[in-house]
Amino acid sequence: MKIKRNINSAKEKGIQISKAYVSNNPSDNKVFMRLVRVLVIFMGTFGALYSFVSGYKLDYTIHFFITVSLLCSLLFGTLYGLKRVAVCVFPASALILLIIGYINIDQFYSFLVYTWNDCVDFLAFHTYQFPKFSTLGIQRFNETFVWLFIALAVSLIIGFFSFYKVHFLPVFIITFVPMEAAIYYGLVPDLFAVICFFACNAAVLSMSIVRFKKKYFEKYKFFQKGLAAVSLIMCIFFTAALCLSNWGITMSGYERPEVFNTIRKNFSNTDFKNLLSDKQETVDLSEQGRREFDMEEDLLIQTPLESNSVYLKCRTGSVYENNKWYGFDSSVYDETPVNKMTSGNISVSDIFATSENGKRNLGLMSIKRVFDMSGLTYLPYGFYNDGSLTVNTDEGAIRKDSQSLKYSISYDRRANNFWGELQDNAYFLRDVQYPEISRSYTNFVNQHYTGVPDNLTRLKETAEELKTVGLNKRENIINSVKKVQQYLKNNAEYSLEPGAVPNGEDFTEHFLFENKKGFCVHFATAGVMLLRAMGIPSRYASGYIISENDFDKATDITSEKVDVSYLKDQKIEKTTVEQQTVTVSLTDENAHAWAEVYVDGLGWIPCEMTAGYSQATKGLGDMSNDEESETENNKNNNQSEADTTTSPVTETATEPTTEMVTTISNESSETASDLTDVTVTSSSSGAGLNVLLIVLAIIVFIIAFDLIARTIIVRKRLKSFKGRNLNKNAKNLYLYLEKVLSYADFKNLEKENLTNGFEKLFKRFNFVDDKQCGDIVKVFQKLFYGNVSISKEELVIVEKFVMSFVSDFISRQKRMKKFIYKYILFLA
Amino acid sequence: MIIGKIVYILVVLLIFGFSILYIDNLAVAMLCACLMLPIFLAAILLIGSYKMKFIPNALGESFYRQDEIIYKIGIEKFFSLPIGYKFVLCVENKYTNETQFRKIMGIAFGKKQEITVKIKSEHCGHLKIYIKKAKAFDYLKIFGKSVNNGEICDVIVLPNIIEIEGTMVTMPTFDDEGNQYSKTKSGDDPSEIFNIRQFKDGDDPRRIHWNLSGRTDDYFVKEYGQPLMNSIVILIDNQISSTSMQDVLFDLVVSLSNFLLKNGVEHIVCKQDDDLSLNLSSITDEEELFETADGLLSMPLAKNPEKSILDDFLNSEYNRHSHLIFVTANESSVNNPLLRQQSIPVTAMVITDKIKENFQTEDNFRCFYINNDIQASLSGLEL
Repeated sequence: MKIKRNINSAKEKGIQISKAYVSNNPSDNKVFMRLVRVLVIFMGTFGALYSFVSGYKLDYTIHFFITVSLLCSLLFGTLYGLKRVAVCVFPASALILLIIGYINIDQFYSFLVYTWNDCVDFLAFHTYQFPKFSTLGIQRFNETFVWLFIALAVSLIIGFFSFYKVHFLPVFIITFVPMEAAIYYGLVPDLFAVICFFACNAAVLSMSIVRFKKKYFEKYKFFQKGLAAVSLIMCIFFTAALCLSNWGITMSGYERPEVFNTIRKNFSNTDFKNLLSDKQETVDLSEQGRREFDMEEDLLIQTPLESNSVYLKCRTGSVYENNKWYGFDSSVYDETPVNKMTSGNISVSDIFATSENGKRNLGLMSIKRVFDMSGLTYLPYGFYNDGSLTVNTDEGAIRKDSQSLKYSISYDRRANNFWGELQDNAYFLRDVQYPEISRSYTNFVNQHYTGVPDNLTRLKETAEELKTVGLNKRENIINSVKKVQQYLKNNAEYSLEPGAVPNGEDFTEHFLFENKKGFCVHFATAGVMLLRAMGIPSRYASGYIISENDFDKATDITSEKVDVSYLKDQKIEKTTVEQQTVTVSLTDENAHAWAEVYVDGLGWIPCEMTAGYSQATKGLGDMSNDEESETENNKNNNQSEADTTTSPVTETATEPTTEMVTTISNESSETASDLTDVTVTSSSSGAGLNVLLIVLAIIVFIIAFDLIARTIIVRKRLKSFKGRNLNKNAKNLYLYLEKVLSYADFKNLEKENLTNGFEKLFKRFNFVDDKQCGDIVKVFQKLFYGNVSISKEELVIVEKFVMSFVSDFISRQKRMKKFIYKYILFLA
Repeated sequence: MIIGKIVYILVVLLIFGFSILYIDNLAVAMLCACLMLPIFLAAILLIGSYKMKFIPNALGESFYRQDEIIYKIGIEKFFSLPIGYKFVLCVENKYTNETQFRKIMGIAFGKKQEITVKIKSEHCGHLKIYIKKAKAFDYLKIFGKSVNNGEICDVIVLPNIIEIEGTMVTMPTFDDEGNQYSKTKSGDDPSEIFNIRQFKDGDDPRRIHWNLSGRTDDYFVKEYGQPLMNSIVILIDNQISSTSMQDVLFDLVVSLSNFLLKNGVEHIVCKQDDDLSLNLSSITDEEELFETADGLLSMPLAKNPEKSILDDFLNSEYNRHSHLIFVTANESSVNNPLLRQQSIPVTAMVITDKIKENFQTEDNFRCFYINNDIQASLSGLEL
């Protein structure tokens, strides 16, 4: 006798109760469920990462919408039992939106870099300092501690003790909403907080994912609890570290939050409509009105200049057409050797702004952009490039140094007044070092920066009247500029509300001959056009102006020893001088537009055209006659004081978006709404491309997700047919067959009457072999009613039958159904 | 739930402390939000659990041992708002007095949800499956609300019927006390005339058919009918120590009955009732077999080992059979002299976990040692 098992070793539990699982999953809306899954993933992904990558800097309305959409997607997923989808939304969201690239990567990168730099600076400068206890520090510590402790601790406790099935929803509500509020109100505006938030949620997620796996739950109970404990400890550690670090940072006096507040507000002012609409790189000068200034601090200038005005040029307009200023197409530069200047090592300023005068004192101007949204900054005239900056052709703007938002630029302290000093000494570099380039550039300028459109007949007549002849070239230029300045002063009135330009009329002629009212844009444009009509190469320029009033309001006036550089014997020498340095804060009020005139041998000289500002700078037009200019200065002083106090800058300080500057990408301006400044036409269809890229990325994601999911599911299914337990494998095959048949509305395959069921199967699906059916019935009968194990051969028979049936069934369907069966229901 | 409440109270105290120590609008706002949270959660619980009930259902009323009993629990509620629930699923086996519990927690999403639980019973018996302590919870498990448990499901786990590969050699002998009569053999029951034949020497003169004999020149005698009776008895000894042996015994009895039925042999199954009286069940068809199997599950285990069913039966009036099959787990009862001294064939089937050889004595006593492989143990059985 063969004893198969020892009776006494029977299991202790006579009754075994399996784990419960949700079994109702109606097959009639499975396709809908799958589509819902895709929708949930997309909504949640988009909402979550958009919030995250934006660094919580979006406008509150948009932010609220995104948060609501994310919560809705989670709730929606939970309602339909898509728990796994719902909890996987968050980690998936980071990957998705990075692929889509909807968010400006440079913005995010800047944010990261800035945060990192802050940390580095802090460590570098405050390592050995232990400042006293301060109220601000305690306040920040308390705020941080309260918010984070509540949010993170509660989320962990919920995750630890809750159902592990929908806990993510309350966790998310409880952590996300307060975190949002905290960051919005400036409580925890740093990346470390974000990392902590995600670390904690990731920990909670990991607990839920472990729980979801049925086999793990039973087998690795202790592991799961251990993981939960580790997550709890990790989150407590993060919370404590964040709070202590914030406390320490604040206590040491490190002024970080203000910067982040500014960053956040700059982002929140972003006009997102423009991101999707056809981005206009050009500016229609006929637009009425100007942007409302929010007086935010844009630049912090530390300069040794005391009282003279400083012009910081950002960009220029080269082509005037249809009431717009454009930049040159890049092909224009290809015609001349000027393109060598785009290599980044040589600039127009290099050619003209230096001199062999060894005693020239090069100052150091620090320009710190409070928030840098683009690759450009502002340059003072006469800045010196020692090769560390990349300068774009003759535009004057430099490419951002990717490692820092603070630029220290050497420049000639008397650059705005260099007419007298430079005129005799400026040929050195031009003629000796870069003779070919400088000559070709002069030719280029004379060719492209003169002449006006043919329809401006009245302007041409006026220019003809103002033209001076008989003098040498430079004196001619000087006199012309003076005449234009005087003409504008006498014939036009400064006004911030000049009104719109009627349709069909030219902006300049309307200003000069009809309206006669305008602000700096009008004056600068008219001045440039008049000079061009007179044959003097000139162009439109805009940027910031530091006027005398600004210097009067300067702070942090310090005297310090400064290392300055100067040129001696064709070499840069450095020395230390006692220098008074002031810090000037520039806002949108300081944005300004002016004209530039090209003087051979000297380069582009700024010329103030706006009435009331003429005394603020000693530009080209004022230097030729000191007495006359002094008298005028006295006359204009009062006016300028009045004007400058009551007439804020009418030029928006936005970043150039010219394609002519090939190294500049299309950045969105933080003051992009209601543009009235000069920008340059870009031939790129950025917005359309963005939308196309987004759509393509979404399609790619959906396809990839579907293929991956299909592969995993099919493999898992095939694995279930190859287990050790042959009976179980056969049962799985039976269930698979049943499932496929259910989609074919065939529900007659009943265990109770297999023979009948298979007969009907044969009748319904004529591609089924009758004999094969018979064999299969015998095997299944043996499986379900016998108490014996089936053999391998029998399993092979069943497997072959089922797989071939499914394959034949699907292949005989119509295309759409075939696609659904394969790629949505994952049947094969 | 208690833990959730404790945690919540701690959080409230913490926030309260902060709002006192650091007067700040945000801290106060947080405190208010925290205090409002239970109200919000309570509202969710009330709405979500409105008209919530559990509807349990076992797919089938009878199963065999180790079959999967699929038990579906439908959760219905009025609103689709997801709400947490918890209940304890209890399964009791009345025969083995075993009870198993399982806590089940989950989130009921949608208006209808169905949960499936698979139950397996190693032993035969009557199973009672029911839900208790059903409650609905909010997301933080601060509040709970009782929910309708649903009805109790009764399921019977029957012994397995195992095919016995044996043969029927001896046919049933006949007894005086039957109600049916043999058509092939005469007996002594005068109520039925089997045959009339000529008188032979040695025939009982009282059987002479005087009426017929008077009309003829010869003497004729009446042959009386032979009443028939079920002549195989399966006697079940309920002195069993373990439930696993009990299962084997039930399987054996049911399988034997099945074997006899298949061979067209009607038989009797004799067991002890609660009052220790003998209970005999006649099995003539499958239905009676299943009824008997059901009845076996009510058979109590012997409480008085000294008063065994064997002695009761052998000394009772029911001891009129042609073949006795004695099924027992008590090996010592095989040596009962009363059993050995029976004049009719006796087959003892002893359930054991040891390996022993079957044996047969000269006086028609056979002993089979049965382990859990009944088929193998009874291979070549001849009755």
